[in-house]
Amino acid sequence: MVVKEEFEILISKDGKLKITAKGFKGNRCEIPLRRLIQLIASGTPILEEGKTWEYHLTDTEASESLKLKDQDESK
Amino acid sequence: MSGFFGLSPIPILEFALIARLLGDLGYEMAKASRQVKALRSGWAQGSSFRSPNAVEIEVGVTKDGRLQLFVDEEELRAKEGIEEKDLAEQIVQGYTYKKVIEKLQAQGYTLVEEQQLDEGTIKLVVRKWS
Repeated sequence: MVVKEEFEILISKDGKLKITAKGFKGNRCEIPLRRLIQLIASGTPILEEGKTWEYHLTDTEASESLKLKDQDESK
Repeated sequence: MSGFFGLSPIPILEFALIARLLGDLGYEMAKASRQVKALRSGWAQGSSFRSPNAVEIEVGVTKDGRLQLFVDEEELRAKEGIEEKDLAEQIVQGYTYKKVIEKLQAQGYTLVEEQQLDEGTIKLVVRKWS
């Protein structure tokens, strides 16, 4: 058994989520994670290793149009 | 019901999850949904809860799916030692935590690390093996 996917998830006090892909097989996330994100907010982002996305589970706007923030781009 | 304050409504759709969360935090349901609904116009569903030190908190979901809380902030501060903002954060963070864990487990991820960071953030590490 090898680790196929690993994610770090931070949940701030105001309910904001920050998901960091720590690494997974290939450079695209598997469908289950896409489904997970789709369940939280709409959208089908392609995750790449080491990148971070932020969104708010309770943000109604984000649920309509997933607002992903790439940590690298925010710098 | 004078002296009660409505907190900023936050969009949460699953009232049952909120009720379970409040139970985990030590709150007991005090009034049936129908009685509380009658108190607050515009609520689709609601219940009254009693904190461990007997502070009454009304929690309801509006017809457009937003959560509202009503609590006497002075009583909350005196008996529970927290501000209404702290209570709102406990509920919002707890709701998000439960929702994420539920979805991850359903997708076959295993929680391998959980940590409460200094600033109150919850850190989770999840894995999937092949």
